[in-house]
Amino acid sequence: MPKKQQSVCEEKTFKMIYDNHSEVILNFIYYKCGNMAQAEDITQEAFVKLWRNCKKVLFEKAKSFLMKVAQNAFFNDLRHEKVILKYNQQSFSSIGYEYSPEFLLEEKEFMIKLQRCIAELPEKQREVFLLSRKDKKTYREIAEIIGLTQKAVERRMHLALLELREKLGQAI
Amino acid sequence: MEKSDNIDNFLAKWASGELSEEEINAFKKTKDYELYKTILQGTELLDVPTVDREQLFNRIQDDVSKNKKAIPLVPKWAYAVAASIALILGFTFFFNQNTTHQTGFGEQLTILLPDNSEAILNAKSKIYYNKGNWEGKERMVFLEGEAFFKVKKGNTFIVKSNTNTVSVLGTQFNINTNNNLFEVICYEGKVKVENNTSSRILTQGEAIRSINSSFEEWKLNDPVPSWTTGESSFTNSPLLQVITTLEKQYNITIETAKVNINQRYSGGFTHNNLQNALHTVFDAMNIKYTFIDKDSIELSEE
Repeated sequence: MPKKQQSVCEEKTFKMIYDNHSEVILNFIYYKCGNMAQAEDITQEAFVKLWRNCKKVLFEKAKSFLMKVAQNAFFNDLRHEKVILKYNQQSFSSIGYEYSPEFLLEEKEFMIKLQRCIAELPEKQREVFLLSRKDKKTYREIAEIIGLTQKAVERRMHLALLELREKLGQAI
Repeated sequence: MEKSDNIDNFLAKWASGELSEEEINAFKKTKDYELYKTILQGTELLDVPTVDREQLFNRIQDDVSKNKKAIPLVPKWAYAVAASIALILGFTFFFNQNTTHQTGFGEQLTILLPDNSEAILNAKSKIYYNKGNWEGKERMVFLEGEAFFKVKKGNTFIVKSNTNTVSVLGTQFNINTNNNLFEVICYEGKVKVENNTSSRILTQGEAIRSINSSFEEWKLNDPVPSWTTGESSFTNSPLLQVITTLEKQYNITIETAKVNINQRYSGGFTHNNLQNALHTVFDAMNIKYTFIDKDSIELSEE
């Protein structure tokens, strides 16, 4: 550690904290509420609070402070929507170009069902599932974000996959 | 329910690749394995909406300075000035102010960046950065052409090209931005790739290519890009990309009017023998090549 005490009140440090953590907060709240505009509002609120309390919050604690504020703000806010991730039909997996039209049609149907099933997951499972698969966070990082044990995060991930399999298994 | 489902974090361990080989093989035999795999693959194709985070940061600053005039983070006029300068002068301004490195035909160049990160430039490529911005702030470089980066851990490291941005913390990756193509291969750590509409995160061994604003993904096992060891290689790449790479490597011009440059090529070519290289690429594609003079070649269908 070159600089022992980084102050959050310092503009450079604050911007760095923003650059490193704003995206995961945005996505995390989005996975809960399904509304990016709302996620932006909540993220904004969290960072404004951090700035106001910059003298009291240690640099090392800034991330968990932001997470806590954002989650509280989310609980106070009752606007919730379905979390429907966009399916970009033009982007196929690596082997996509070899697939037959029938397969592509099937793939499209599968994707629509998958979108719906993810939207229908319980919020606690969905946020773990998407932070892991879309933001590529490790279970330990997710545990830190949500404020749970790693074991609990892994259990939620397991349940999310079970649930998705069950729903998609019926659909096919 | 199968036995494997009984342990309450089994699927989590599987998804993160923490299972032993034995456990995976047993799991592969269960009837639901394919469906689980498809669920993970399908999720890869879903996009999370992106947010203009600079704009959001400005909103935060506005909010802060509105309520507490004493400490504005950065005076507002500074943004106006910065924005107008950027608008008027654009990239050329930065270019003139910056440290620039570039390579000619067939050359490669290893550059040590101010933070001791390393960039290896491939033939006919250019990289530039503003050294002043690096201290304690974000590390940003601009790239035209192709380069392989080995980034030291630290603040966010950003590579910009015309329309795409790649950001990382500490990792190794290759970027190719030659003609309208944008290709990123991640060799270590995590890499985030963004364009105007969406973003993807790549992990080790994953690669992405954007052509006409759509993404194609694939996987590979190489520890470093093959071009750093004397050979260019391609995975289902548009022929135009292969031809451009040949031109840059050997300082030749290749006339492509008579062939379909959108067909795909998988394979490689050597950097030390033009005849061999042409032979490897074009014979495989059933394309005839004729030398018009010493350094220009015309292609035609066989």
